[in-house]
Amino acid sequence: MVGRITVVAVGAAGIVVTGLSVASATLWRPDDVLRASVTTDSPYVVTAPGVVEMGGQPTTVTVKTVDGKKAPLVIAVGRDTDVVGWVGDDPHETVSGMSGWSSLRITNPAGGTAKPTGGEPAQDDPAQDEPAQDEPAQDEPAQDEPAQDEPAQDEPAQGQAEYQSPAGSDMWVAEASGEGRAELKRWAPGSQYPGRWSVLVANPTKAQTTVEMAWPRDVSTPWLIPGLIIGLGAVSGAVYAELRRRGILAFGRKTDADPSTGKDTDSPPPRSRREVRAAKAGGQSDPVSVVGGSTTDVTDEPTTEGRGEAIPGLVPPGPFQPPPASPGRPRTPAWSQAPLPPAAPAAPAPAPAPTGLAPSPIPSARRMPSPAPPVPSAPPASGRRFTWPPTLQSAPPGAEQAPTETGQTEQRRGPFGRGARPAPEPPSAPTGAPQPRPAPLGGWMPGRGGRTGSVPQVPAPTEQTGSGRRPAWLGRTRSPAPLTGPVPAAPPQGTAPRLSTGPLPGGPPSAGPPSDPAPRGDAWRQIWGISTDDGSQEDR
Amino acid sequence: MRRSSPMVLGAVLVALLAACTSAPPKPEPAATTPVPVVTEAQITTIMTALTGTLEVADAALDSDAVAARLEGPALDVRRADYVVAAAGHELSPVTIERDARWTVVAQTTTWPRVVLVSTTQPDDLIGTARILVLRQDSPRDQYRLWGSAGLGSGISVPEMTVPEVGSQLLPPNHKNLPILPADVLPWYADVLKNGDASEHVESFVGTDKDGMRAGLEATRRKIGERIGNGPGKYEETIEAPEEPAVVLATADGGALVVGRLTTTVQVKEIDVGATADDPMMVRVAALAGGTLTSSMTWGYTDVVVFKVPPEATKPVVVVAYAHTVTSAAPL
Repeated sequence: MVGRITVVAVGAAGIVVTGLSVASATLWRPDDVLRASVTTDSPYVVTAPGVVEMGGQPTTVTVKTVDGKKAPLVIAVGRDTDVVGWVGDDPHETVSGMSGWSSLRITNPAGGTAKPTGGEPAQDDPAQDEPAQDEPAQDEPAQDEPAQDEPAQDEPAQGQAEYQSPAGSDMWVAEASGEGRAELKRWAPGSQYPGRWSVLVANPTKAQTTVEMAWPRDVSTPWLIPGLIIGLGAVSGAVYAELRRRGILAFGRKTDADPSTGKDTDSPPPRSRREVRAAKAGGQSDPVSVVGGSTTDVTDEPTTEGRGEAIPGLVPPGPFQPPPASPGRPRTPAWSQAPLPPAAPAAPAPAPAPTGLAPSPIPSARRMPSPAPPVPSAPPASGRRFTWPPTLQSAPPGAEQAPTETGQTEQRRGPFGRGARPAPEPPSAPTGAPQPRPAPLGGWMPGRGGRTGSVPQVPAPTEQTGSGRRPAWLGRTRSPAPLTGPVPAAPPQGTAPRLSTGPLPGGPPSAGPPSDPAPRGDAWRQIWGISTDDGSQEDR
Repeated sequence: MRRSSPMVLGAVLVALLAACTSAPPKPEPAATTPVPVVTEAQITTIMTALTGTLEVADAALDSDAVAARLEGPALDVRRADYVVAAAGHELSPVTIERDARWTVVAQTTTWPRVVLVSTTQPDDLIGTARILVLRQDSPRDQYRLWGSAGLGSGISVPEMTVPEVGSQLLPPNHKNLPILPADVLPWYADVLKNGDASEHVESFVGTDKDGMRAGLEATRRKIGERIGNGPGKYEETIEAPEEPAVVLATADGGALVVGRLTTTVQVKEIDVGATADDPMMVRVAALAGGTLTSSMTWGYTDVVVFKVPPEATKPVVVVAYAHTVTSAAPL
């Protein structure tokens, strides 16, 4: 029972993970454009150095009046010093960064009227966030505000005494203006304009305006693939386990089954997860709750009304067990019902070939084990194939055998399978092998940027061969002195030799694959802000 | 307990996902490096605006409109030009090519800011080539043409730092030069006034006279001839009314000093009739109201560009100058 619950739990978790990963690439997929905005009534809004390009390049800046009121709005881009110089002592607000993914943070020493439209509160913490800014904004006298307010009130024409439009200044490298809405599209300093740039947004009226900055983003879906792999892996693992378990049960039960009725007398027929869940929920069997007549009993009760027999009936189509065919009505195997209940009648068993495993206790039970072994054995084989190529050249067959030891094969597989992992694994790999090996690993990593886990394997085989082309490797781990051959430079240091010799034998094969996955891993880690020491990610 | 394990797993996954969302980007300002006050593109924009303003103002001889892009000596000269043109004379055009071919851009974050522009290549800066001095006096001002001066004959412009980097603006009292930049104009005014008798004559061009000085002395001589042995009287005042408008470091460690001089002339009891055909006197007449009188005064607005060498052993060179009558009145 515990095992079954575990299986169900794993399967459920797998489904959840799959769903989450898919959602991460669909529902939750970040917007292609990063937008952040703030609402303010300040006549001038200035961005602090670095803000323009903080979300990338190019930047699109938009300003519009909240109520759609007409107002001659201006957006200008200039050197940070030019913008600050232009604004001078006039009341203004400074955008110092983002206070969330959708809101700009305003440093507002004088007014305190800005509200990030993203819904998060503005943080007026100039001291904390902008210690480097010595803009006039910081020491803006509060009394400047009223002076600005009075004339500006609803009477722009008369309020202009204090306001001066920045439009048209020679200092701006980019500019946009409009009535009630202005947009500066896709501005990027690029390489021809190095240095610091700031945006100045001017609004002559007291109308509330929303200033928005938008940057294009390269959106990735880093969770999709790993999520699908893990999720589907868990699901299929659970299914597999369930089938297998069931097969075993069936096998053992088979003797107990009453062939005439097709009913299992003491054990439940195969169940879908849904059934199991239903069973759990109901505490008792409630066959109807699943799917019409095609469902099987949820409980172990023999009370099942002839439905249990359906299961065996399924088997017939299966490749393995034609006999138990129960003429009744063709049905899909219990396990297949879970996903596709309505399809049950179709029961073209041939398709679900594997079904034979589950429902047909006899043959399947035996088969299961057989397929199983190959699985574990397979990986090592592949692992060897990948890892050994380099060594094959120099290492005699005998040497090759040695490494088959599990620890090593695993390690070998690491680097080639999923590049991201090689680094952590090496330490464990050398377990069986001579001690010196760890050293080579460590030495090798730096040389290749720590990505080529394949390297370690190379030395191992050669070590045992101790012949011909690879004396260098041996020397590395044992005695540098005897080293001879093509790579005399190698001996002295653990790392040094690797660097020089590595490329020769193992270079081509190892360099390619590992380098590819690694950047990818780095990329999504970076995107998601996962530091390498974040165990949570690695654990999964 | 067991039943809840999937939920727990799900919750953990959600929590993991949530924990993995990164923080919003933070501004990462570029390093604060000295930058030129304008880019090449901005210079083109400025020149275009200047040309446009001149075209409009010239068409209407609008001395107010022209002030939008002219100031200082350039404005004084152009306003005088308008007066002369209004008197029926041809308006001398200010030809400004929009494509700046040689530029010197100040490197500063304060004001005033300066840009020097020539519309021809340095190699060709002989005779007719002019250096335009553009200044932005405060952040909310535009760049305005402060003055222009013709390159002296046989003189080449000093090597300046490339505009992508910008030339350093020096204070008028910059000490690491043989002459204080602030002293250049008064000393030169003294040389113009007193000629070889000036104590500063050695500081400038040695025995050779620059075009500015030679031209001024030729004018004196010409008027002196008119006076002859008569009772006529000629008085000349040369002043440096203000500090240098521009002091820019040159590539060799010297300085480029640009400033203004005012020359005022008074003549009395002179037979002006004989000089009426002289282009300069035509201008004087126009500015004085249309006629020349035997006693009158007129003034010149001078723009002079000096190159101050880094070594004390070399003289200051007058690179470019402009000497234009901008006012006249009968006495």
